[in-house]
Parts: sequence; structure tokens; C-alpha cells
Amino acid sequence: MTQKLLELQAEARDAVPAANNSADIEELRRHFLGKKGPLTQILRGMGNVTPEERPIVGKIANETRELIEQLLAEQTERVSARESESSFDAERIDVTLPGRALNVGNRHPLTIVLDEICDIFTGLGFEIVEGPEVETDWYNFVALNIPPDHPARDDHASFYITDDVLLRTETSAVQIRTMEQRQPPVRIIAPGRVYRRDAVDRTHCHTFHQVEGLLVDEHVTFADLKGTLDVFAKRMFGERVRTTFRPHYFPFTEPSAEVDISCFLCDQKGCGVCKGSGWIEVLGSGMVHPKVLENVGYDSEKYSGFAFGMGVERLAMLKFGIDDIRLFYENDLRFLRQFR
Amino acid sequence: MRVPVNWLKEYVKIDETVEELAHLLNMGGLGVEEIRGEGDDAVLVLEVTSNRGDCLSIVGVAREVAALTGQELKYPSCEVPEEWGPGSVTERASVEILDPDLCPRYAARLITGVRVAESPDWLKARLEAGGLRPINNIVDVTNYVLLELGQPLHAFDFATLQGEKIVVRRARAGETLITIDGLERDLAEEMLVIADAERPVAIAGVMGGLATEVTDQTVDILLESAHFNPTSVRRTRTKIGMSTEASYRFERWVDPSGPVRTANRAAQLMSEVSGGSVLPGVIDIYPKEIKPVKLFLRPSFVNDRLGTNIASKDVQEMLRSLEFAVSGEDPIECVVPTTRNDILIETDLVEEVARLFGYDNIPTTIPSGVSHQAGEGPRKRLERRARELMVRCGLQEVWTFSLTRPAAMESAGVGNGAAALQLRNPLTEDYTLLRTSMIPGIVEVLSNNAKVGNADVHIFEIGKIYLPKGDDKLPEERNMLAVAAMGSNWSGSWGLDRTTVQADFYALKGILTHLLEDFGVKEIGYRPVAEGNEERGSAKSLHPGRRAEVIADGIPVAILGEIHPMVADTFDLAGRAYLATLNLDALSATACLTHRYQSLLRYPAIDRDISMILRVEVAAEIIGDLIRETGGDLVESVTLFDVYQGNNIEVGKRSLAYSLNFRSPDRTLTDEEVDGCLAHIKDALREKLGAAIREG
Repeated sequence: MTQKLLELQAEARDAVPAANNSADIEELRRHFLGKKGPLTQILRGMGNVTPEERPIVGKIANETRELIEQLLAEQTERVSARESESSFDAERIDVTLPGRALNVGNRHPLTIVLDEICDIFTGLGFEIVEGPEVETDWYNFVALNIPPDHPARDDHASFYITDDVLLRTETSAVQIRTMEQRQPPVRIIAPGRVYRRDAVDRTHCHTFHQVEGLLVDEHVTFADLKGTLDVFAKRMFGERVRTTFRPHYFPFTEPSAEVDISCFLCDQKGCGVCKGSGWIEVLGSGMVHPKVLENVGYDSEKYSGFAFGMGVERLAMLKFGIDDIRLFYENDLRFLRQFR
Repeated sequence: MRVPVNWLKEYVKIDETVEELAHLLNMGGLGVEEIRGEGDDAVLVLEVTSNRGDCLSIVGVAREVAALTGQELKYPSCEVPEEWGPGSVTERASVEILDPDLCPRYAARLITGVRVAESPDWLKARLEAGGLRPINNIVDVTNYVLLELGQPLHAFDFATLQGEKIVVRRARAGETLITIDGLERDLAEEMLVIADAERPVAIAGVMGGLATEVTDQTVDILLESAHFNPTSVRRTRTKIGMSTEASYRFERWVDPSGPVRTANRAAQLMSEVSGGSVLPGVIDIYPKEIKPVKLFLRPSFVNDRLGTNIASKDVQEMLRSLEFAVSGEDPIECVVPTTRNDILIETDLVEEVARLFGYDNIPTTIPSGVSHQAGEGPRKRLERRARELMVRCGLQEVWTFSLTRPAAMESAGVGNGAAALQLRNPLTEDYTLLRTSMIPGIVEVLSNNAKVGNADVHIFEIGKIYLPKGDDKLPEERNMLAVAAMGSNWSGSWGLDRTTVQADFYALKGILTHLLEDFGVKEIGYRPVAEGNEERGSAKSLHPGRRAEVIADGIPVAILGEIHPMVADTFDLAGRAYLATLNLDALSATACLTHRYQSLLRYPAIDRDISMILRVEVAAEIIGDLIRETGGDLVESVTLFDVYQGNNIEVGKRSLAYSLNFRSPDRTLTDEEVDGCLAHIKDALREKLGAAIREG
């Protein structure tokens, strides 16, 4: 009988791992362990075994049952893992199909640059103010020390509504409106739309945007102007950027300066953007002209200040490498979607 | 202004290379726009700002170079070989100034026996290098001196001057003059002219007349060298509509001390190149002497404004190098040379010191102080919030022009522009007025994108419209939001139902509702705009059956709808497109951007659905309101989840299905309670709206 049990063990070791699916395993379970199966038969024949042999045979018989059950359990696990694997396989998707989502909305590139400028200056303690785009001659010109017949009016070809009302040619007009309403200290920036009667080409447009800045207080110096705009340039174009100030003429500032930044594209080695000079002109600025301060009733002996103005389109073109100002207003989605 | 370097070197020693020289000028205030050519043959193209009339000449630039490099300035010789001529100028000619305000000084010389011919090569070369075209030796000399010393001169053919006389006066009514360009000019009474005994022969400071110009037959020359009032010249040339080398300089300032010296210089050169004789004497009528400006400069003021620490003697030295007569330590007394008309106050001297000291040598500091006003105000914050919300809704921002044209407004159904602010001097027909509506601009963006093949466009713009305000000088500038959409706004839409990804009225309505809720509007209403009521908010742009006015807490703030098929057609939009415009200013007063927290209800909710069929005329809003009203506090939310019209539904009716959420803040509801409430709601829907409720 021992011999039979050992043979049964060997049979199970061969047959069970060969079963491919749960039905075959169930069949084997019935075959080995069922009521008519060999193990049951053998155990029924225990009566013929001598009392001395009985415990030995009984032990082997139990071992055989445990072995077969273990083999079946192992095989069941193996087969069911294989079976669920094949059902995952049936649910396989093509992960390379395109994704599906609502489009991301973006700000206009000019908003992106304008926000950046405003954030830099509000971080420096400036306040954002606004003024009208349709302005009077007084605010746009006269109060800014550009009387009628002043040659500087040539640089500001204007769209007129009436003799006295025009589309503002610069955001500087907001300086006057703000100062009229409060006493120093004044620290403002005025972003906004301006107009010039210029023909449209790659670098000119009848409509563009400026950010004007103004700081008036006691003992404000040209050195303060340099420091403030140097910080701005570094935040805007990178910490490695340097600034240089060149004398210029604006009727509403004295002394006046144009501000160049070192070319951040070529590190001043010379490129198309800086036209080989290593420098790019980005800003106009200066110390507020005493007449401008007096025009709003400030004591120009006690107070001094600086003002600056920059073109938003120009900065955006530099920052993003855009070569045609008209693109900003064509609003072609293929263009706009490039700015995030 | 073109400056040939070799010419410049006649008046000042230059050790620097051309590039170094250009840098020096740039950092000193004379912008070098371009360097043409190399070495001594190089020509600097300068941008001379409008305050520096004194730099519109080679000698003027040389003066700056001398001040910047510490070299000495050598003036050209202005000695006249006049002893050769017979008689004297005052015996032959006379000058009378009738309007000394407009012509403070007029000098003249006579050169006789000239042979008008081509100029010698050196003279022609100089003019060409300076950007002027050679004409003949007489005219060329006047232009040479103009370039060299900045004084515009005029040569008259003396024989053609009636009465051998010059009268400087205003034009008389009806007078005309044919100028040397052959055009007949109408002269206005405010214009200053140079006349002879009978008629105008030149427009003072602008252009000479044809009848008295130098020709091949000319033998005697009357040479004019004058100082004219800058404003008068500017007004005259603006009125005539032309700018000349002469007017350009006169309107910016020509040294009033210069006329005699420059007349002498020209007479000397004329006799040299034309063989003429200079008559002894010079006529110099100077009824209104222009005296040099005298100013006091405090060195402490210089340093307070610049943030520097420059010594008084250094300040004096700098001003002296610019030909200022300087005396005293503190304050420094400065007599401004008459070449400069831009130095009128103490601050103007600060700039002179600053630029000679070098802007790069001024220190860099950060202004101190903290501002209680820093940051953006409420309006700007609202605008930023609106922009953020639009972007979060997946819309792309656009910027369009505020200037537009009547045709665009008409095509878009927003009037003909007659009520808009008109430009008096538009540059092109495309931009003649200020928009009174955002619609034409944003529809144009849809159209332009469609033209380049972008069929899916979902955009917004935040901008101003300009509304004339009765008698006020300035219009109301109203801040608006415009939204427009066509096609799909999905980055991929395979596998989705086409109709669900396409823009429609409700997609835009959803976005507007998000915005209004974000702004804290409590009651948001959408009302159809009836025919005949279109004027409000330019609803004519919209499909009469698919447009709505949006009411926020009782105030109309927006319109919304499908773009009118005729408008869509005019703008070449292929499919249906939608737009909305919203008045941001109307919301700004009441907007509340901070939303208070509401506690979360902890007791479980019970869901029930109601499905019903009713007449299509019954607006969804009424059904929702009735459900909420009848259900009372137990109804937490009412959500429409299906609308169906078509097969199996009677014509004129539609099927609507709502999901109701019942919940109490203070207890767990029972099924019996909820079902009782639901039954009430169903009864109300049947009785008040004639709804057929689908049971089961």
C-alpha cells in the first residue's frame, strides 16, 4: 500500500502542474481526492493492514493528501493569475492615442509682459494708476512742458478729435492727473494704450502701449532713477543684464536719459537684435522737469522726482523674439497660443 | 544731421577713432544713429534732439566734441576781402524790419560781378557728404555755411529786387508767392515774408521766391543772414506744409549773435568761388537785441539732484568748456552763450554738468520709503480677476484696436458710427473713429482666424469702449469684456459626440455665469431680447431667437447670443458663432471677490429624479423655480440632466429630467418625508405648468 501511495504522489506531481485551466484542476481534484478516487480507495483498504503497519501507512496517506491539496492550490493560483492576465489583455488600450481636454486659455503676450512689468514695480512699492486715453491738449502736452508750437510735437504725431482733444500720445499725461490729486510722496506706474499718427509697418503702429513711472519725494536723485531702472532691467531680462544711461531730450524731464540694457541675447558679443552694438535701447527717463512739478502746484525746490516710460510692445518683441509688431493685433491663434 | 569726420577735424583735434568718437558723442547727448564709411572718410549720422539747435552744424558738433575731449575749438575764418569792391553796401541797398518780434535781426551783404557756374569739386564734395545736392556756386556757398555754422542764408538776384530794397514784414491779405520749387503759395497774414519795395520775394526762414532766385544770368547778389522767431517759422512752415533745411534750423534756434559773422563767411567764400567782389560794409538791422541769459547755479543743488559729490571748481570747469562765462564759487554765476536757447533755469545747468560728468559716473542707489498705496486698485484687480477666470475657462485672450471704421460697425450690426468720436485727421480709411462696441473687433478676430484656417476659436478681450458724454469734453471710457466662440475648444475630441464639443449659446452662458458668480452676483437672470428691443446693448448683432440680456442683481450688464446669420455671413464665418459683451464697470461697484465659507452639511442626502413632458414654451427657469419653491428648505439642489425633443414626444412639447437632492442641516431625512415632498412637487408641476410626469 505504501508503494501505491508513493506512486499516487508521483502521478499527482506530474498531472497537476500540467493542468491549464481551472476546469482541468477541478477534474484532477475529483480524480485524486473524490469519493471514487485512488486515495479514498486506499484508505478504505486500511482494514487489511497489520496493526503494526497501520500508523505508518496512515501517516503516508495523510502526507499524500496534503501534497495533492497543496499541488492543486498552487496550480489554481498559477492558473487564475494567468486567466486574469488574459482578461486585462483583452482590455488593453492604445496609450498613444491623443489626449482629450479642454484647451488651456492663455493671456495675450502683451498682457503677459504688462503683468510682469506691473508686478516688478508694485513689488518695489509703486501703485498702479490709470488715466483716460482721450485727453486734452493740456494734459498731453502743455502741462508736460510741451507748449503749442514746440518742435517736440513733431515726435508726437497725434490723432485729434477737436482742436483741444486728442488721443493721448503717451501715458505721461497720467502723471499730471495723479499729482494734481495728491501731495508727495508719489510713486506710481501708469500702464495704458497710446496712439500716434504713424503709418503701420513692422516696427510701428498707430496704437501701442506704454508704462509710465513716476516717483516724487524730497531729495529724489538721478542716482535713485538709475538704481530703480537697473533693478527693473535685471528682473525683466535677467540678473546678468547691465544698464547704461545716455543723455537725451524729453521736454518733461531734465536731465533726461535714454536707458540701454546690455544685450541679453548675445551677451554683448553682437547680434541682429542689438545691431552689433551690444546694447539695446529700452526706456526713456529723467528727472521730472521743475515746470511740470510747478504745473501741478508742487514746490520744485523742496520736491524732486524721476519719471520713465517704456513701450510694452517693444519689450515684448525683445523678450519673445517677435519681429513684427502687427502680429500682436492680428490675433492669429497660431501666434497667440505660443505664449503661456 | 550728417557730420563728415574730416570736416569736423578742421575745427577740433580728434585723437579718438571714429568708434570712440561716436561713443563719446552718444554718452554726451548727441545720439549717433549710424556710422557710414570708415576713418576720416566716415560720416556720422546724428540724431539731434529738438532742444539742441546749436548742434545742427559742423562747428556746433565740434564745440561739443571739444567740451567732451578737452580740446580747443578753432572757428573758421570770417574775414572778408571787401576792400576790392566799389562803393558801399548802404549806398546800394536798404533793409527795413517792420515786425521786429518775428525778425529781431537782419544782416545783408552785396557781392557784385559774380559768375554763376558749377561749384569747384571740394565744395560739391562737402555738400554731398553733408547730404545736400549741389546747384551752383552761389547757392552752394549758402548751403555750405548753413552746414558749417548752422546759419541758413539766402542769396537774392539783386537785379530782380524792386527798389533795391528789402522789407521784412507780414504778408498782406491775398498775396501769393511762387517759391523756388515752382509752386504758387497762398500767404496768410500771420506769415512773415521778405519783400522788396513791391511784393513778397521769400517766405522768411522757409523758402525763397522763384522770381528773385539766382540764375545763370545773375551778376549781383544780395546775401541775407537773419534771425527769425522760431515759433513764427514753425507756424508758417506747418501751414504751408513743408519743412526745409532753413526752417528746420530756424524753428529750433539759430544763434542771434551770428548773422554778421556768417554773412562775412559766405561773402568770403562767394568771392573765392565766383570771382565776385564784396562791397564794403554790412547792413545789420538789430532792433531787438537778444541778450544772453544769466543764471546762478548752486553746487549743492547739482549734487542734491544728481546724488553726486562734485566740487564747485569742477562744475565751473565743465561749464567753461561749453563756452559759458562763469564766475563765483557758490552760487556760480553763469552767462549762457546765445548759441543755446535750451538753458533757461538752474536745472538746465544741472543737465549740462550731468552729461559732462558722465551719466555712467553717477552712482546707483535705491530710493527709500514704503508706500501705503502700493499695488493695484479695485478696478484693476477686478479686471485681473475677470481675465484669470476667462483663462481658467479655456479662452484665449486677444487685443484689438480701439480705432475702427463705420463699415465694420455697420457689418457687425452696431450702428453706423455716427454717434462715435471721429478722428479729425485719420491716417487711413480703416481707422477713423473710436469704437462704441467691442463686437466688430472681436468678430473680426473670428473672421481673420477663419481665413487662415483656424476654425476653432474661443477668445475674450478686455478693453475700452468710448462713449461721447453730452457736453463733456472727454468721453466715458467704459471697461468691457467681450467673449466670442466658434467650433470646438477641445484639444482632442475623437470619440466625443460632435454636438457636445461645438460652441453654443449654453457654453458661453456657462462661462458668463461662472464670471458673475465669481464677482459675487447673487441673482443672475437671462432674458430673451424681444424684437424691437434690440437697441439695448447692440443686440442687433445677434440672432433674434437666440439672444439674451443678462441681468445681475437687477442691473443689465451683458448681452449674449448667437451671431446674427447675416453678420456671420458678412464676416465669412462658416458655421454658427457666439458672442457676449459685458460691462465690467457696471459690476465693479457691487463686485465682491471674497467668498465666505459655507459649512458642509453632514447628514446624508437623498436623491430623487423627476422626468416630465411639457410644452416647449414653459421656460426651464420657471420649472426650476417652482421645484425649489415647492420643495422648500429640504431641497438642497435641483439639477437638470436631460432635455429631449423629437421622436416619441408630441410636437410642441419636450421632455425634461431633473435630479433633486434632498437634505436637512439638522437631521437624517426619512424616505417617507422625501417622498411626501416629492409628491407635492409633482402635483405643483402638474397643476401649475401642465406637466405630464413620467412615473416608474
